[in-house]
Amino acid sequence: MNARTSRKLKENLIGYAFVTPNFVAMLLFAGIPILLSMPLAFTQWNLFSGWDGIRFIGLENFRRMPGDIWFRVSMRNTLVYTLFTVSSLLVGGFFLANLINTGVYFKKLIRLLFFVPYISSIAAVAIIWRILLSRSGPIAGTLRTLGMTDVPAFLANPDTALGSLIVMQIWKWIGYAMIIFLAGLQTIPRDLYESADIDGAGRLRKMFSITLPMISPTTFFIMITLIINSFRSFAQVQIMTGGGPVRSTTVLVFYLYRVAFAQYEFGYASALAMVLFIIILVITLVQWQGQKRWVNY
Amino acid sequence: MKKLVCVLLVLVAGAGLVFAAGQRQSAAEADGPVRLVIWGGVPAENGPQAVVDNFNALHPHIRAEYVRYVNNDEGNARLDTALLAGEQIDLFVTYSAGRREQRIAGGFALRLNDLMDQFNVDLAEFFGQGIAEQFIRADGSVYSIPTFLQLQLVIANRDALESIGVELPVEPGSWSWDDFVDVASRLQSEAGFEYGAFFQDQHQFWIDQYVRTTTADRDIWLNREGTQSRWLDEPLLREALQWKYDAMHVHGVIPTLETIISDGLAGQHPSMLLDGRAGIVVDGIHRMRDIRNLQDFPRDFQVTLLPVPQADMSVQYAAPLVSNDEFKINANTANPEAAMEFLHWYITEGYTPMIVGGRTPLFNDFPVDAILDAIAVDGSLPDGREVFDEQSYIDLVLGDYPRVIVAGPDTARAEITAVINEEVEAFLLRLQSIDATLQNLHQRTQAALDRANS
Repeated sequence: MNARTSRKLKENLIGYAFVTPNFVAMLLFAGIPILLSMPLAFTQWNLFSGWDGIRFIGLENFRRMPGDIWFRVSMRNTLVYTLFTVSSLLVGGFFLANLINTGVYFKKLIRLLFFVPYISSIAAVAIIWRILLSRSGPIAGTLRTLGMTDVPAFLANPDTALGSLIVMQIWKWIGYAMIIFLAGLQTIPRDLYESADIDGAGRLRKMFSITLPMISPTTFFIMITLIINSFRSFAQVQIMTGGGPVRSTTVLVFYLYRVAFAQYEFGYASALAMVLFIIILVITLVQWQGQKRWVNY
Repeated sequence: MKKLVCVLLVLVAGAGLVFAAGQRQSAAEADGPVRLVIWGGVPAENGPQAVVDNFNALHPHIRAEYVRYVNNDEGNARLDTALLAGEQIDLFVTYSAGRREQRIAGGFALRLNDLMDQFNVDLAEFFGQGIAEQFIRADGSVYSIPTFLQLQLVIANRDALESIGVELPVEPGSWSWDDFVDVASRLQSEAGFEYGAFFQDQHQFWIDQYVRTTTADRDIWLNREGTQSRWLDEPLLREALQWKYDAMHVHGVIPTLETIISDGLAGQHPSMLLDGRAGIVVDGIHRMRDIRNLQDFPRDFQVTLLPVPQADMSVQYAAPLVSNDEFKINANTANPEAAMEFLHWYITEGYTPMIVGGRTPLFNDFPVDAILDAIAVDGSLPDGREVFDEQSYIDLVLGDYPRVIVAGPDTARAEITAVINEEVEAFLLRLQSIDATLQNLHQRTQAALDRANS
């Protein structure tokens, strides 16, 4: 081995040495448990019956799902929740980023104000929103002063509870979407707009023909991360509504948690986790394929 | 060479650490007093720490320690993990039938019959026949011992009741739920309360209590074997649900469920009664802790304790207890005798600091003077009267009534509780009729039972 390859080897080893502790931890505490939970999905196992209590039942857990009202409702709620939050965040984030990019006073302040919710602790945010949304809270009070007579009890009404959670999620994540879109917008070369101006393009035309295509990689990234994240929403459901009233805010992760840690049915919970995993995987793959068409690098 | 030495040193140090950690346990046990570890959900400063300190002073050959775990999902998971991992836990306390059954099913609870004989712990003698029956299992084994007289009561604003001329129903079995509604509406219309009454309980406890204090038949929505749903068979279940609904929407004497959920009335504050928003509250005896606390809840009215009403007044009143502090000895403990010695002492003598923290001993023969001293309040109302009606406490809480624990059956408990919460919520939020509610409850309960029993 000559001096060059041995130095390269040494650099590689140092690199691996830095990465190893984190990698080992991830393997031990995330990777292996995830792998172990996959065969568990085909078993029935109450945690308290010990290792001997694991009973292989094949696809029974999956056959149970369509008949399980909680599963059906939580799937529906999760999909509705994801659809509304992600689409609103994409549109809202893009709009805000444009606004800030094209010159507004107090740019930094606005950026800060919108970004602070994103970095706040979800538990603290959920508790405060719960108080805000209560019948005797400020939001209801404001609506009453504006003349609304029958102010809905947001979190206590099955029709509005999920919507309230969606609004809270949008409020919390809009800063994230905005910042990333902003970064994307700032990479677009100015001369593209200049040539468009020369050709006589209007504002809308410029947006659709230049801005949107040029930030499509950013959009793609935000869309994937937001979707994955929205499927994982748990803390706000747990704190604000407990899955109620009457199942209206039970999302898949919340139901999974209850099956595992309140009902101690680890087999069924693993099966639910697998379903969640497959759904997110499919959505990501679809997007990945789709991006070949609409994302221009 | 230097690197090799370094690596070797690290390995030796690591091995040494592992060894030492393993030795720590046995080294501590080899010399000195027996170490007893007790896990409970009550904050240490509300009684348990004083109990443990008193015990240690009186029993120098045992050194007891109290570890607190929060009695919610996460805390219980912590306890379960510690039990599974073989951490030293000799005694642990559970607070609901579901959790108790889980621990017993998991093999963490020691069969106590022999130890009970050894230390003269007799359930019927200590706690009464009714309670004893609920803790002696079908095969005669005992795995769990209750300790807390967690009585459900009506806690009332005595001054308000007297001001509207209501004769206090101090005698158990002397008022019905209809009388309750009358009193509550008068409190609203005549005494000006925001709400006549308030229930600090959960749906399944309310239903359970309604049925069990009314009928000698102790089965509620499941049959005794835990295989059949009785939602459509037991008329008292329908009555219980309908009563709550009428109280909210027809008579308007308690807050609607919408208000309770939206304003977080159920969890956030100690008592609507003490805040002056309701005239009578159905709550547990543990509320004594707040009733005696004039600093945090200053007020000018006297509180009195009344028995819960009955749906059928011809039936013998049975004092309803909601859940309990149940002690279990870890099946893997190295010190079962020390554990039972502690438990026996705690139940018969050592309970006093817990009374100060708001709990009443379940033990029939606990010295009454000790109890009354412990609940005595340091202070009085602005006009010099007692903060609460001590006589009502003596009559009701220490009175000689049959007791029954309203706890709900244990098969598929978590799932059935979730089903009950949902369906009753839907009914009380006026989203479905009572027939549909009972039908759903029946179907879903039966499905859960079939799955659990298969």
